[in-house]
Amino acid sequence: MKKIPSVQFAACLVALSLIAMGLGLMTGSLGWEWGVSWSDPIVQDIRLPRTLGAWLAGALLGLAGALAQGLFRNPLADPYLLGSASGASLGVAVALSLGLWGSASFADMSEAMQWAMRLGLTGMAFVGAWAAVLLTLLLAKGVEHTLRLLLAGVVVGVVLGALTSLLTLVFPQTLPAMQSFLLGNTSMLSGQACVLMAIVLLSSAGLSWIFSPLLDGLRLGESTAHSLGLRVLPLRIVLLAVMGLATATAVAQTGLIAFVGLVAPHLVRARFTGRSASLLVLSALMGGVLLTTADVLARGLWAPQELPVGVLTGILGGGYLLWRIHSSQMAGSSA
Amino acid sequence: MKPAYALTAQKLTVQRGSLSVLCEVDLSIHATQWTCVVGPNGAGKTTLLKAMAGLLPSTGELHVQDQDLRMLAAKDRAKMIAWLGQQEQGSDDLSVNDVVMLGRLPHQSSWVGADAQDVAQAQTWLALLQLMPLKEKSLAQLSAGERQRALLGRALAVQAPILLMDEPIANVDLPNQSDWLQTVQQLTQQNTTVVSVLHDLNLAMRADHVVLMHQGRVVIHAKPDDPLLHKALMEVFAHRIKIHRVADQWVVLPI
Repeated sequence: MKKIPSVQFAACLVALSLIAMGLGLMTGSLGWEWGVSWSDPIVQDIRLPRTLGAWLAGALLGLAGALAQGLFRNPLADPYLLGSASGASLGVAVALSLGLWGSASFADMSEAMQWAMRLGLTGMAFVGAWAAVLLTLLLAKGVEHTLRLLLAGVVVGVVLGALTSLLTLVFPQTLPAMQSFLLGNTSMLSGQACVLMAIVLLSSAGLSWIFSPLLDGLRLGESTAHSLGLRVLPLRIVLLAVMGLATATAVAQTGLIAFVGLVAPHLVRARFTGRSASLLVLSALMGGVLLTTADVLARGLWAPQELPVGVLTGILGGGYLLWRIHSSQMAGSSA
Repeated sequence: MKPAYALTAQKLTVQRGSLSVLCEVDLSIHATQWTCVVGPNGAGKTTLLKAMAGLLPSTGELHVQDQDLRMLAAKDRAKMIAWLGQQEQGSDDLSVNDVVMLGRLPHQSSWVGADAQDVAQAQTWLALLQLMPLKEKSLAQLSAGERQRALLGRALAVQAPILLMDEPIANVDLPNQSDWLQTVQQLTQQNTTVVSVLHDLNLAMRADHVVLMHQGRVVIHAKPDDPLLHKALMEVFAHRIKIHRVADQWVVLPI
């Protein structure tokens, strides 16, 4: 497949982002509407933060996915690898089970209660995600051994997942809200959330860009990275922290969005070869395009019924990966 | 005056758990010459090379051109010693040009990245190693020999006075081995010190010096013509080899 230079690729993704965002502003609870007014409060207060938020969350996941795949030298690595997803889920389950909000379903609550819940759940999801990442690092005794880190991430994921299941079993009234979190949800994104995600995205992308030579070095192996004068251990800690921050921020705001972090770097690599700095930025842009598009489809496909966005990203992302596997097998057998 | 030895190790020891995989090795590598490290599997050849490159924790003294290797900053060390590893595969999605440019990393700051001089140096090595027609190809599209040449280009682009290579021609056919040999000879003529680990004893006997290792120790460090080296080689390889002189070259054959 023909490769595209990074600048053209980035311009193309920015254009796609703008188109997807435009469609996002035109998609309401009744489906697609042509000719919406910018001054419409629904557009300004609901659709704009939701669309922008979906793009930012997707960009955070795309960036975190590219970091994970570079740091672990594994194309199947995703941002949730260090247990952040299960940690965030447990955080939300704990918050719901504490009884403050667990007695009523989300839809029945007053607006103030919903805001309070949102703030509490977001905070708990963020804390849970970070706690899980730290637990993984603790169990792996640091970041030096990639395999130990991966195994620790799997163990933390399984154990925290089991605890989440236990909590929802004991407090079944938390199930609807838990389900909304587990399937991914962009409907509650606010302007405040957008500002927070934008700040995290800019700082994460900046740090990733500066320290991306480590990812370049690691592409030739750890010894080679060392031999090139890269201080592997401290740089790896910084990039893992950036990955954890980007993932935790996105998960806390939108719940568990499947496959975006895994697929975005794959889509970029299918059309781009080059240095990791460009790959990271392009993956972030691709993640933004993917999640905004999925959000538009989730709202518009079966309007007025809205599909959970995580279900859509799961189906589309899984389908894409299956197609990649199939096409690479075909290429292998015809070679 | 330049020091006679590019690298010196005294009582160099590497521990893996309670096991000493390298035991108090004393070794001086002649500057601007090609030294080849040989020995049976598990002799500690790769460990020695990695320890001398500063890539493994070790004890004992280690000097590079009369400077304490461990006191050097990571980037300064990288500019003095280039490394080409045995397991260096490279991501398939990197182009040959990207790979060679990675060799310029020690000369770049994180903030600025590659400059015109880095690009020019990379282009020089691409041309010298006849990689220009391949420079836009990804590593996945290359043959084993071309791939190895690209990775050698990466190591050479560091422009270090010392080049350490671990099994650089494993899985490479004879014409590519011949090219590699020619490159090494050119490098030493241009005042680069080359140290390589090789399994192929016939190629190793073409080096200026041979270091024979066994069970984590240096058995002998000698020129290929030295009869004591031949005797030691036969002993270490359990008298399963014979060394002959054929057409002005030493040939090692299994028996």
